[in-house]
Amino acid sequence: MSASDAGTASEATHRQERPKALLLRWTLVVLGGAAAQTAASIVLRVPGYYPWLSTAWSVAVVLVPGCAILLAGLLTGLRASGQSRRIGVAAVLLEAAGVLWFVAAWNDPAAGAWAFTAGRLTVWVFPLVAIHAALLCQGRLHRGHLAGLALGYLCTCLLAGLTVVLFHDPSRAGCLGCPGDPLLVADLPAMAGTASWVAVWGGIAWSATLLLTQLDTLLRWSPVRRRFAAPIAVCGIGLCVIVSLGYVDALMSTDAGPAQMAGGILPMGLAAALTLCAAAAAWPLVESRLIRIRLARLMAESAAAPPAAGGLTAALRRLLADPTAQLLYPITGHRLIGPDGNPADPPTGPHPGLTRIRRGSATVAYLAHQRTPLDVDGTVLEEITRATQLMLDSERLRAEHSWHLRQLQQSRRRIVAAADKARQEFERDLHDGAQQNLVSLAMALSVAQLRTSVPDRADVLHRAGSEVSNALVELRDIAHGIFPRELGDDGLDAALELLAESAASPIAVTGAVKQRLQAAVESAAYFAVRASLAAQLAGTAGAATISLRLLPPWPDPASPEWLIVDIETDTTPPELLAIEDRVGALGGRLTVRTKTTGTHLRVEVPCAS
Amino acid sequence: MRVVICDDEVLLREGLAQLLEAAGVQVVGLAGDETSLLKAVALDQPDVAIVDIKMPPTHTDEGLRAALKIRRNNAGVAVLVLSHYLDTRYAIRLLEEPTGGLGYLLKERISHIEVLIDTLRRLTADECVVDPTIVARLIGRRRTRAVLDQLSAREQDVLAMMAEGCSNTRIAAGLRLSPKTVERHIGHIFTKLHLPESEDQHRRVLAVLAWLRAT
Repeated sequence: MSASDAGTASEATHRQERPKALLLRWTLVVLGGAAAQTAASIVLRVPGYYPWLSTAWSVAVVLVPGCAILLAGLLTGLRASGQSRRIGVAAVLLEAAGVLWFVAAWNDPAAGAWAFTAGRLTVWVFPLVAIHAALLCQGRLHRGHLAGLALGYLCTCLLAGLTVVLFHDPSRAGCLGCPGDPLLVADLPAMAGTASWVAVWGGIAWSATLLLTQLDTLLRWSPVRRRFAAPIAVCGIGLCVIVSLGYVDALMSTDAGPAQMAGGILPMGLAAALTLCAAAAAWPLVESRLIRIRLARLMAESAAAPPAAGGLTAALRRLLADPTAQLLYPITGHRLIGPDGNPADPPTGPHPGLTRIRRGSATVAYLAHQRTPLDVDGTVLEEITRATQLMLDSERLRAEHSWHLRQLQQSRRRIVAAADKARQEFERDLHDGAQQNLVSLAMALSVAQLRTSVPDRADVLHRAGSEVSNALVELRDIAHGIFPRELGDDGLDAALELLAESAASPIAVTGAVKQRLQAAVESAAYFAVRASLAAQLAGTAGAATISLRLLPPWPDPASPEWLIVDIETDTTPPELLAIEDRVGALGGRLTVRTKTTGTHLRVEVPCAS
Repeated sequence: MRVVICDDEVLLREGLAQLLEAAGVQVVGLAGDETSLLKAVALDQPDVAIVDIKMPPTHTDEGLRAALKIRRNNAGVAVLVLSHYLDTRYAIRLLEEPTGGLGYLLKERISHIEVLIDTLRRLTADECVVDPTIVARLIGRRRTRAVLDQLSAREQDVLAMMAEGCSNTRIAAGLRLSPKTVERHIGHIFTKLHLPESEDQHRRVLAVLAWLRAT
């Protein structure tokens, strides 16, 4: 994937929340406060609201979960700040769940006609809203989630809530002290009974659907994602379990009716699950806090000693607790490189995210990561990029530097390889073309010489033949100088052996590579030797020695790493720069040591490219 | 004299045939690759097969290998290998063969028809012929070797001519020595190279070889 394709990358910039959503959420908070106040007064007014708890504890059980989830909604909304629409909706739903929890607590005959009816309407709905919020907090909704939620809203709002309130008056059904139902349309106990029966079975169905989908989702997650979203996911599962238990309990009780839900141990479980849910929804805030603490520590550490290449990536991985996090830098030609300067592709994990790190209008880097944690809190990434700006710049420059160096090295290598190829082709052309023609000419001259009967003419033809012969010898020397055929055919050992024997001054060759190396490596070593020993070849210097060896030594591994050629000569080679260029193009080096007796040259060439 | 010529270049093959015919040599067969060469040799039983060292498919030393094959399978057929390349390793491979009738010439010698004819004649007499340039190279190559010091300058000259495949008479003529002196030099060479007297008729070749191999 190139940088230009990264258009879908999220950006570490802060967007403003829309005022409408803000208004809605604050309205819900105010409503929640009012509902809480009413609920508390009802609990205080009704002795034994929870039969096995004292009044003070009962008030606490009503107030704590509701307030907790309202607060979690408030904080989630503030932190999300419009970063993600999904999280924004989750925040609203969390607050709604808090309001509904308080309203559901009005479900007591002593609350008064309207409050009682409102409580009856909502007593089944709030767990579903809380589950919905938890699911949105943990991630995108799957088809199973959507189906479960749709069925859930149908059963709880329409059947268990609205139908029962409209067609069932508890005061007429033998509930002493129950106020009349102000919303009653017609008293049809049979119909209301059927509706609640369907709602209970439907309740078992939707809670089971959500439960199974949730378990399936949890299993599919990557370990990183699981770690981040586990708290909220587990709370969602807990809510589903308690709700389904509530429906089973309602089914088992003899007088199957929604009101039974309020009794028994289940409300306590719901209260606990809801409180935990609030805590889990607030977990990303804790995570952000932890990241900030680690970031501060990283800053302190980097001030003491700047990280090595790739050190920033390692630090970010620790910071985000995401072992797949990776920094990538854009380079010319819409390509990405890693911190080491090598071309890199963004990881394609199960949930890859690519965040653009901008400076002004320019993208200076990309952070590839698991999407979840950074989505929850966009400001964290912003803080990270701001804090690590210097480290990021230093690492980016280093990465670009080594990338350019590598490009340059490859280009030098290609140039040398192209030159060698051209030499080889030239040598072949000389041999196949000019040399063959000259031999033909020589033969034609000989034939003419044999056929002529004039002695003078034969003599001239003979001399011409000798000249052609000399031309052939010179041409052979030139072709050999351009590129020795044996170097390509038989390798370095043979080429150096023939080079040594062709020299006018004695050249001793010790050691051998005894195998074929890459053509570029063989050529570099051969031409380095030939350039170093030009004086010996021409006979204007004394004896020289060449020593060949491979590191690690032959025949230990099949693939040697270095070819090392030591050259001892009693002169100073004039073309040292040319040797250095050729050897350097392959990433090798030339070491020259001047001694009293002459010069020692060491040519080291890496065998693997 | 009957010869077969093998060269993958038609121009050179035909040119050489024309030249040899003009010089009175009978060309009985032309070949372009190893298969047709072996067939021509088996069919025509020439005195000498002239083979270009560079032949298809790899154009490296196919000609040399074909030459050795012919020499081993056809006792009566001498082989002359022609080459553009001044490569002593090819010459050494020819010399390692325990038989005469093998020659190695550089292509520029073709312009001297008398050298070519002389070479062919010597090959049919079961001598070994190596191009003087190659021999000079081979001798130069061993200049630094310790064994060289054991031989006198005159013995080196004798050995050089031996390596060219010259007979004692020819060496004597070339160096302006009496045949007896040449024999004495050769005796010294054999002693210094630790070649004990035996019935082996190729002691001369072994002498050249032992000397070339010595380090």
